[in-house]
Amino acid sequence: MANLKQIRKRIASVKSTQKITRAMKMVAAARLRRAQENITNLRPYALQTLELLSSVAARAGDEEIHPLLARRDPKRVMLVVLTSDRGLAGAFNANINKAAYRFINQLKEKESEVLLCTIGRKGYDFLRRRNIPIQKNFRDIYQKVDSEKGREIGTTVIQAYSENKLDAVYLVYNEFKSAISQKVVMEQLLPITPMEGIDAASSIDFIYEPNKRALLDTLLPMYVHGEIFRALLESIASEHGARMTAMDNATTNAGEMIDKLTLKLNRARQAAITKELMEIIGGAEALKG
Amino acid sequence: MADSSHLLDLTVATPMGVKIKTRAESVQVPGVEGELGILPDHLPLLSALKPGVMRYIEKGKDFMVAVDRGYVEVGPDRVRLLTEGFANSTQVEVAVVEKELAQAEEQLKNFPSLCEGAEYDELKRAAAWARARLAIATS
Repeated sequence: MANLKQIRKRIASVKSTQKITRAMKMVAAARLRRAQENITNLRPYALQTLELLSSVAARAGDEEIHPLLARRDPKRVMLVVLTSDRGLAGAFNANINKAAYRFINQLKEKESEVLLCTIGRKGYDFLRRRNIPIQKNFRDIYQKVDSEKGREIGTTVIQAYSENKLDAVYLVYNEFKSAISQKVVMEQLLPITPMEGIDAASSIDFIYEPNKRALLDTLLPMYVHGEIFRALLESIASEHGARMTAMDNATTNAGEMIDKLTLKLNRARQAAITKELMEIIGGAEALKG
Repeated sequence: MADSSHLLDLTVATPMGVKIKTRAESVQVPGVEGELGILPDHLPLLSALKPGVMRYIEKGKDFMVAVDRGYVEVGPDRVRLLTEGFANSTQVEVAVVEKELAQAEEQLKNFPSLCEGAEYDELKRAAAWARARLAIATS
C-alpha cells in the first residue's frame, strides 16, 4: 500500500492540473463563440462569390479559357497545409498532418512533384521532421487574422501558378462542423472548379460591365483570396472547438482520477488505523497474560 | 406603387455577414461604368462596383448605405450585391473616417513614381470608400 503522503501529493497535483484544463476549456469556449460567428458570417458571401463566378465561367463560351480556370496535367502540385500554432487541441493537428502526409505520398506515387506551403507551426514542425522540403512557411498568421492575410497568401499562390511553376494547388484544413466535430477537407484551390449544374444555354446571357474577361480577371483572384481566408477562419473555429472538447475530457478524467485516489487514500488511512488498533490490542493482551 | 409581385429581392452579402435582405421597389448602385438604376424586370446584368453610395427604396422609403468595391448580379426579380465593406449612416464614425480619408489622400499626393499599379489602385479605393461613408453620414 502506497504511503499516505505520496497519495496526498498526487491528489494535489492532479487537482492543479484540473484547474488548468478547466481554465483552458473556458478560454477555448469563449474564443470559439467569436470564431464561430466569424465563419457563419463569411459562408454566405463565399458561396455567392462561387455562384457568381461559376455563372460567368459557364458562359465564357469560345473565348480563350482564363488561366486560373485552365486545367493542366498536374505535374507540380502545391499543398497548402493549415494547422495551428499551439497544441493541446486533441487530434486537431494530428489529423491534418496525417492527411497531408498520406496525400503527399499518393502524389509521389503518381510521380508528381509536391511543393509544400505551411500555415501554422504544428504542420511546419511535423513535415520538417519527416524531411519533406517546405517551399514556404507563413508565420505569425494567427496573431491577427483578417482578409488581408488571405490576400497575402493568395497573391503568393496565384503568382506561382500564373508563372507556370505550379499546375494545381490544394488546401488541407479542418472544416468546422460543430464544437465536437471537425472534418479534414482537401480542397482544390487552383485551377478553380466552377459549380456544376449551371446551364449556360438555357438562360439568357448577362450584360457585362465592364466585360467578361475583365470581370473574371478580378473575380477569380478575389475568390481565391476569399477561399484562403475562409479556410483560415474554418481552421481557427475548429481549433478552438477541438481544444474545448479535449480540455473538457481532460477535466472529466482528472475528476475521475481524483475520486479514485481519494478512495485509495481513505482505504490506506483506514488500514493504518486498523493496524495500530491491532497492535494496541495485541500489546494489552500480552500484558494480561 | 408597385404591387408585391413586382419587387426586387435585394441581398447584400459581405465577409462580415449578410447585411441587407429585403424586398425593394428600386435599387441604385455605383457601377464601375456609372450609376446603375435598377427597377424590376431588368435585363440580366453583371457589373463590378466601385466604392460608393447605394440607394434603395423599400415601402416608399428611401435608404442610403455605403458599399465598398464588389459586384452586383441583376436578374428580373432580384439584385444581389457582393461587397467587401458595408456601412449604414449610424455605423459611420465621422472623425475616424475623415482621418482615413486624409491619410489616403496624403499618400496619393506623395505617391512615388507613376500613378499606376496595384498599390495606387488600393489607395484610390480606400479614399473612395472613405468618401462614400462620409457622404451617407453627412446627408
